Amino acid sequence: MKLKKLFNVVRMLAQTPVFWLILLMVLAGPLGYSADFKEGGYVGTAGQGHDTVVYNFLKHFSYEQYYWAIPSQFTTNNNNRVDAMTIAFFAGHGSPWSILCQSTSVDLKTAGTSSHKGWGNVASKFVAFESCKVVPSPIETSDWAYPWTKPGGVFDGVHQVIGFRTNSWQSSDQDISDYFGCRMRNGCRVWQSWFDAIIAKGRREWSWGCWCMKLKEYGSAVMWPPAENDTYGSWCANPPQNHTWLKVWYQH
Amino acid sequence: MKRDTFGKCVFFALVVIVLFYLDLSAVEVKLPQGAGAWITGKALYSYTSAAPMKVEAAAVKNIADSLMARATTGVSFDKMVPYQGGILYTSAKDPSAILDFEPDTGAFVFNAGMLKYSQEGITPGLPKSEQAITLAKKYLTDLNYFPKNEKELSKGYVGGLSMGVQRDDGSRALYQKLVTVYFGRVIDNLPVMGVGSRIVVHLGENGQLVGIVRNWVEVQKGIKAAAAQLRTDAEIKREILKQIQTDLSTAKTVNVDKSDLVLYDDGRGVIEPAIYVEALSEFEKIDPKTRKKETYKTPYDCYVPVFKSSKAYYPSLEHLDKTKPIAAPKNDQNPSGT
Repeated sequence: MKLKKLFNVVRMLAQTPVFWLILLMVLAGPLGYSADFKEGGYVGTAGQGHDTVVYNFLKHFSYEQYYWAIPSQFTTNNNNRVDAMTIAFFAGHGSPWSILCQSTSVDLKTAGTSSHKGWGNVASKFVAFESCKVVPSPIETSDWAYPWTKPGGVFDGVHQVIGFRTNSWQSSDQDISDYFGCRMRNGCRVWQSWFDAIIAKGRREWSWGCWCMKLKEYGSAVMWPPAENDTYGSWCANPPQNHTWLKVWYQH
Repeated sequence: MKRDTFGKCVFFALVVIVLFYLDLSAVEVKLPQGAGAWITGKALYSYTSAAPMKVEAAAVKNIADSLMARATTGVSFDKMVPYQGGILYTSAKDPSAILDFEPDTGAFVFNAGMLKYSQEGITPGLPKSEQAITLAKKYLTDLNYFPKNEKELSKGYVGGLSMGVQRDDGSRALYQKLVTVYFGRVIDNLPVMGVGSRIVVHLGENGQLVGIVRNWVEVQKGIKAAAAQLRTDAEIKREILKQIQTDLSTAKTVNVDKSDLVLYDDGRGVIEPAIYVEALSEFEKIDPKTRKKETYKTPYDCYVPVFKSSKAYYPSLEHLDKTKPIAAPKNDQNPSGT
């Protein structure tokens, strides 16, 4: 008898939109938020402190992957490595759209050409490069966007790719990754946390000419524009894999 | 001791010394011409914080509110998250608004909210160079964050934050969104490098305060270092070479471009003399497919303490921090068929 009454109450509630709204809110937490967090770290070169830089990011999480970097993590096996992570962090040598793994470089302009495509068609939301010059800004080239989104590029659903438009420096790298990791763990806005880390911890250069202290390393972040307010905890819907709409924020 | 045993000991010691020096010369390091007279004849001073740096957690809320009130963006902090080493204030209304405060040192990163700068378009009323420096100083004064000893503050360097857009139709646009003023510090006519001694102010629409990054400790009168406390120039040279050999053990050559006497601020209350080294290193790698040798160059920098027993915390000490051991990465393998 009691069960029948309960059933009737539930049936009545199910006819009201408020019930479904509450149910959605209850489910949204575990399904849309906490189950999705995976962190991966990839170390470019041995013997040059890159492991410290990556670990200073990862230590803020119970991370999933921590590997010496090999090209397939970013290319032919990315569905099981970089693209399986919510956020992937690489530290090592770099140049525009290129990173150096243990022995060979990865051309990020063509890293999405295999059957694993680029990043974001599986789980990747954010990818960070603590490397020199990997993310060029309009200051370096007017063609800052196309290499990311062209066929075979890596923007196949990933929300943001962040890095430096300039050289990055060994004396400050480990502090930048530490601060950035802390801000990510606390659910802050992604590209802004990266830029804050560079300003708060990055290398500076004294100029006697202007009797002033300049920042010596500057950040750059490319993103699907609706994803610019993404935090490490709340992000927008995935972009289509074939979009060419891109925004870049850059420091100078 | 028998004569032949003594001879063997001497021979063994010589072998050890030769091997030691052979190892140190594994990487070819070139110092700039004229380098080597870093501290001879110079009076050097070290500095420590003038007052306790610690800020009580209860006071941080007032700091958050006063910063937001001065910024006048209409955003307010509504969530506080304490974490190990810091306190974070955020706003549900604007995820870009944050105050990340380190109570142990008083250092903070503040952003009053940038949502209105997300739209395409140049920010109206951005201050020009000198005007920006004046405005930045005014905000710091109003908030009582202007350094007590103005002579230590360097001139402001004006940079900024910009946005570029490439639309689906291929059209592009560039917009300057914020002006950023960077301040540094000079003591004893030496620039102060490192994590500390920095103030950065972000300015937006019509010169509005958008953010401040501050890591600045007021210091006591400097303590003059006795000669016995300091490394000699020859010892400094050895330390520079040793640091480079350690950090770049696999490099082929290292050309040191700069090795300047500076003050180093560790952001933990110690400022002391150090040598700042900047170099270009060259590495060789072998392509596993073609077996062809390739070289690549990469920049490098480090600090070398001038004190024999340094009190500052340098980046190179990170490897030695036993409370925070660095875990080793795993080897990965290409999956079959790739």
